[in-house]
Formats: sequence, structure tokens, C-alpha cells
Amino acid sequence: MKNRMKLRFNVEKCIGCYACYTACIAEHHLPEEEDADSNITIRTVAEEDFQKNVCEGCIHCGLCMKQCPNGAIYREEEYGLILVDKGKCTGCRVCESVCPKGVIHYDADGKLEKCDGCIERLREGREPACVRACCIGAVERA
Amino acid sequence: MSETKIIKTTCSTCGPCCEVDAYVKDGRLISVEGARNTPMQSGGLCAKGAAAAQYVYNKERILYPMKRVGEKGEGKFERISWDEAYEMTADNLLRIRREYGARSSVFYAGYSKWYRPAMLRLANVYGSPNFCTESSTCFQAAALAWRSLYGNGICRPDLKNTNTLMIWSSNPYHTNTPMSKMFQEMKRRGVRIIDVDPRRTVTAHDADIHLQLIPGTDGALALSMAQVIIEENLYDKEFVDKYVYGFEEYREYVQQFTPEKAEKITGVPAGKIRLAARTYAGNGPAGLMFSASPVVHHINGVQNYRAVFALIALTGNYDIEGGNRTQPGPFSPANEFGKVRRFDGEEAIGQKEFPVWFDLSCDEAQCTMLADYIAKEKPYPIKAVFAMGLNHRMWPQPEYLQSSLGKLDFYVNAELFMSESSKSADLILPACTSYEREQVHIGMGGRFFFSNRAIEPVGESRNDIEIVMEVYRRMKLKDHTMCDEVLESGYEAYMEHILEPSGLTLEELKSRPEGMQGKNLFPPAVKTYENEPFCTPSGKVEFRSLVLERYKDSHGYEGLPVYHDFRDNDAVDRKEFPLILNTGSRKPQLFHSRLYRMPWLKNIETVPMVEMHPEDGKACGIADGDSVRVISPSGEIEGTAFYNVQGKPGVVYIYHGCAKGDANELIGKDYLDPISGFPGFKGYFCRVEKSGETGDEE
Repeated sequence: MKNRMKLRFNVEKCIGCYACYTACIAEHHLPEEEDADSNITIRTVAEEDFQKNVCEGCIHCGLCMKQCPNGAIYREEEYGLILVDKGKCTGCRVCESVCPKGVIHYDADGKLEKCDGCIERLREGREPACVRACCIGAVERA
Repeated sequence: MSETKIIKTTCSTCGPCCEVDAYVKDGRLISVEGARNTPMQSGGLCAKGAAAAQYVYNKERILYPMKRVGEKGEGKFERISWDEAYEMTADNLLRIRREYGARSSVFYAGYSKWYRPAMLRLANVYGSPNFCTESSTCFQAAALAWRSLYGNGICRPDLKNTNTLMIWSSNPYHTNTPMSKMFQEMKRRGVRIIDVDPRRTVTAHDADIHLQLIPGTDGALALSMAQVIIEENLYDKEFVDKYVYGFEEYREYVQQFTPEKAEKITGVPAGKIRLAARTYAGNGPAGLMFSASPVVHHINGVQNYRAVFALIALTGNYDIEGGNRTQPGPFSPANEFGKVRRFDGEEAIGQKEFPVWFDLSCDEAQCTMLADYIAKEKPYPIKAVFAMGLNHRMWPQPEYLQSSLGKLDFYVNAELFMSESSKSADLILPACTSYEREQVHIGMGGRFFFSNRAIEPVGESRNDIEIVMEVYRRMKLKDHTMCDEVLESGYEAYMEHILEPSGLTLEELKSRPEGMQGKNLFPPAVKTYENEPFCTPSGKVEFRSLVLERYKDSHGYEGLPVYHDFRDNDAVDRKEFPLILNTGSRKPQLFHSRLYRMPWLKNIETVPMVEMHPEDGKACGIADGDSVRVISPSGEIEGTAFYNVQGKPGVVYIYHGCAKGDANELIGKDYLDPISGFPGFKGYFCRVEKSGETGDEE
């Protein structure tokens, strides 16, 4: 697979500006979809006298695919991205329990909603929206 | 099927006006990305800019001119034509001028800022001294502090050549995110970073030295650094002898602020104060990165920033390579911004209370007390407000201003959104965003760039300057004595007029998407003071300000950068209000009040957020995530408490502008810096209670 693509989120580098988080929403939704969710997850990392919010997204490791009892998650062939076939998803949430990054989301019907690696943009020769938005290179295409 | 077009334009959601690529399909804005054809930007963008589509196509956008049909403040409007709207504006402004005099009309520029010179022209030609802006509570007090010392416009740090950068109360990672890469490159180059901030922000975390002071004690910290620098002979004796006025009194005054004493005031360990002083003075050249508001949102704000800015001259870092420079890069002249003088033939609002604001002029009146001027008709009646982007949430106790606006004879607001402040207007005019207009931008280093119109204006919205021009033309038809050639010329000619001194034409600039440098460039400069005296009464850098001393008897101003602690306040019972209240710092996803209407941004974190140190939370019986009531001597609001260890115990941080709980309601309308009129937004007092519990006050 010569175009293989994964994403890397560097939590050390991340400054918690939420640019990737918002760019992800804007890429996948129309402005009228007010409650649209990002495929990126925000979490807080804390030390004794310091804390920051950081953004993390799917790294396309495929663990969820291996564990899905319904075969609803597959690896597409062009870039090796881990994608979901919503028709097969039963909402059992096994994927959520195995995701090492905690970046599995669900839509209003309880079906898996996850990062698609911005596959449409890749086909146009563009970077994923989160990579493009990040000012400091904390989100990278690996 | 049409293709997606990429259009070079600008985001103007907040201040810096980042250059962006707008993706447009079938005439609709699809997405926005940071431009990569600019020397100043990383190519990335911030959360606000990335959500541009929800800004432009927001359901609260005002689409048509609308006039009030219900009672004032009721919020009932009906659609009218632009023609009727212009006539109504011109007729009312002229009537009020006839009945009460020109000064009774206030011309107010809120957000965005780009049309200010045109609006100032309108105020001038109308004859009112009362052109004012949102700068009555933002930035201009910092500029005033600077001007009282150096006499010129505030000088930025020369980031390219500096060895030490002292950031004084700014979190650029979150306030100017696209600058982050440049900041990190400085770190990689080995620049020492000193960060002064009450909180351990992401910027502070990346700094070499973090001075974590109690909010509002900036002056004491700076004076203490000066004490160290003088005592250890690290100051630039030659520069000080030749170019500083009042050094001996200053030297004597700073002796009170030994690091040990300053530690007690500021909470910063004495050893760290010494280390920072030695680094700033010894590892030069050193630049000082200032911020627009945090330091001056304190009642001793101007003097505190004077103490900070004095360090630049003290260490000889004024106007040298790597210091704070008058002209760090090439410079091209241009018209309009900073070139239009305010009509000052009559007393303006704020002039009695804040005379130095006018002596060290920023060409604006000071409208921090606008609500009082309207309600009490002092110093004279204010009857009309012609506003663009007026937002009452900028002022302390905003509801008081909102009710005062309802007393006006005529109030028109041009806005993007149906804001609450617009609801009390008689007439609302729909403005358009930067994506819907053309604009000439003046960048850094003598560079200009042209911001294209990416999409047609939404609804019947119009470009602010075209609105100003048409209001002018309608008034002129009824009063032939009015004359302003620039307003008369039309918007295309206006853009040419901005460029004219640069030697560029609009046509050539339009053909160069990457922008271009002006042709009449001035080279970078250093040590300009060797050839021309400082523009102060003494001709020197005034550690002792002769302008401030003019008002010693009448207003009690002192010439030295004196430190008065806001906690020495007999009017407030600290047992009742034991916590320090700091409001209005920035979140990366928000900008004042305007972005709370964008769910993609508003939903990122719970609002309004009340940040407390866990120790304070536990002491008040408040758990992380509890609903709380914050009570100050001036008001109370509801919010949600979040534990946060970035700040030290004893201080509560609340973000501003949220209608569900407006932090500014907690700040007294008269709790102002007596020199600048800026509210003490970042240094007041409060207590926090779990919501639903009854307080012990009546």
C-alpha cells in the first residue's frame, strides 16, 4: 500500500488551542449542524502546578477493527485507513473499550462515528484537516 | 457542477487579521485554511478561524436594515430598505446636532476595527469631539503608559535579533495561535524566555523563567527588578545619564522594593526576581513583549506598566537591535490608520476625568463612563450614538449601559449579528464579514496585501466603510458645508488613497496574491533618539512623567511609576470577599462575547467557567463541576466551577462576555484606573458559593 497513511498526535507538543478539533468539525459538517461533534477528543493532562488540555485523534492502529464482533470496521485499500460501515454497526461499543486513545465517538443513533483520515481530502492531494490546521506540527501525517 | 475555488482573503474574527485561503464552491464558503504565502504565519490557523463557516452563516446574522417598531429595548424590528435606513440616520443625526449641538452625538467603533479612520472622519466632519472605540477598555492604556515614558507609539520587541524575551502577561499560544511556530523557533534558537503571568499557562510552561505573580502586582515586581539591576550595576549608565529624565528620584523610589519585600507583595520568590533581573539586563539584547490589556486592567494599571516599560530604557534596550525598536524592519508610509486626527475643538467625554488620555492623545475620546454620561447628562447631554459593533458587555456592569442606551434619542448600531446591544437600538444596519468585502491590508515590514471578496455579502449586508460613506453623503445633501474628500470619493478610491504614499497602485497589489512591499520604503532604524529628542516635555525618557505631574493637585497623579496595591482597599471587607477575582483573560476558542453564538466553539468547554484552585474549592465546599454563584461587592453571577492548578490558591479566574453569566457584572462601574479610566477587571474581590445555598448577606 504505497499511500499508507497514519496520524500522530504529539501530546507533549500540543498547546491545547483546539484548532484541529474545530477544523475536524468544519471539514465534516455544515455550519447548520450546530451540535456536530469532532472526531478528536479533548482531555486534560495535569502535573502538580500545571495542567493543559490536549487534543488527540485516531491513529488508525486498527485495534477496534480487530475486536469488532460485527465486522463493521475495515481497512480501506488506498491509504490503509480504518473506516466504519455504519450499516453493520450494532452500537455494542466494544470498539470504545479497546481504543487506546479514547477517540471513538458515537452518532445520535448510537452508531460508531470515527476519524476517516479525511480520505476525500487525501484524494484531492490535500492533508487531513487537523494536520493542516495545527500551527506547531503537533498533529502529523506519519 | 462548479469547481471549488481558493480565494486569498483575511479572517477578521479577532484582531490580528490572519491571511487565509477560503475554499468557495457555488458561491458558498466551504472551509478556511491558514495561508502559506505569507512570511508571518505558519500556515495553520486557530480554532476560531477554522470555524469560519459557522461565523459567516450564523443564524444570528443580520440580513437587512431594520428599524425598531416596539418599545426601546423590546427587540421588535421590521425590515426596511437601505434607502430608508440611510435617510433615517442622516435625518436624526442632523436633527440632534441642530437641537443639542454636535458633541451630543457619540460615534462609536467596536468590533471589528478596520473602518475606524473612516468613522473618525465622519465624526470630525459632523463636528463631534466624541469619536470613541472599544479601546476605551483595551490596549490604549498600555499605549498611554508607553507614551508617558517615550513619547511615541508603543515599540514592539525585535524578535529576530533578541537574546532574551520577556513576555509580560500574554499567552500567545492561545491569543495569537498562528504565531506559535515563530515563538517555538525562537526557543530553538536559544532565546531565553522570561514569562510573567499569574498562571502557569502553556506559554509559561515553555518559558525558562516563570514569574508567577499575584494579579495586579506587576508594578512591584518591575520596580524590584529595577532595584536589583541598579544595585548590581547592570543598568546602562550611559543611556540613562544622557536620555533619562528623573532617574535619581526613580533610583531612590525603587530602593523600597528589595526582592525580599517584593516577594511578600507579589508572591514571586526573591531568588527568581533576581534571576529574571540579571537575565533581562545581562543576557541582552532583550526584548519585552507587552500585552494589550491584562496589566492595565488594574486600578494601578498605567503606573504598573510604566514601571515595566521603564526597564527597557534602564537596561539600554530601547531602539537597539534585539530590543524594543521604533522600526525593526523596513517601513512603508500609508494613509488612514494613525493619520486622521480627532476634532478636539470642544471638550470630549472623559476629558475632565482622564485628562492625560487626551494630553497623550490616541485620537479618541474616553468612553468608559458612557453609561453615566448618558444617564446623568453630564458633562453635557448625550443624545445620539452612531455605532458599529457596539457591545455593552465590554463595559463594567454592562446592564447599566444597556439601560442607559435605551434613554438615547437615537441609537443606530451596524453589526454582523443580532446582538443584545443591537436589540436596544432604534435602527440596525447589517455589516458584512471580511469574507464578503475587499480590503487593503498594511502588514509588517512595509508589506501590503489585498484581501479578496470570497463570497457575495450575506443578505443585504454591506461593507462598514461604504455604510459610513453613504451616511456622510446623505448628510451632505442636507448640509452642503460638510466636506471630506476621502469620504466623498467612494470605496475603490479609498483603497487607492490608503496605498498612495507607498507608491503602489490598487491594480498591481490585486495582481499579487502574496502581497508586495511598498515602493517608498524607509530602511529599518536604530537609536533614532541620537538624531531627534524624545517627544516628551523634557525631550527625554520620562521616568518621572511631567505630563502626569500636571494633574498632581487636581487628580492626584504622581510622576514616578508608583506602586499602589489594589488590596489596600478599605471599602471592601476581605472577610466577606476573601478571594481575588481575575476576569477576562482569553480562551483559544472564544473572543469577547461574539463567539458564544457559534456552537462548534461554545460547546468545547462549559460556559461560563469559574476556575478555582482545588484548595480554594475544597475550602469553599465546592467540587469540580459544581454549579456556583460568584459574588463580588458589585454584583453576582452563576457559573460552573472547575478545578485548575494553573493559578495559585486565592485567585478565581472567570472568562468574560458570556450572557449566561457575565463576569463584567461583578466589576463596579467606578472601579477604574484614575489615569486611564480602564476598569480593574483583573484585580477585584469575590467569594464563591455553591449554587442554591443562601449567602449570609441580607
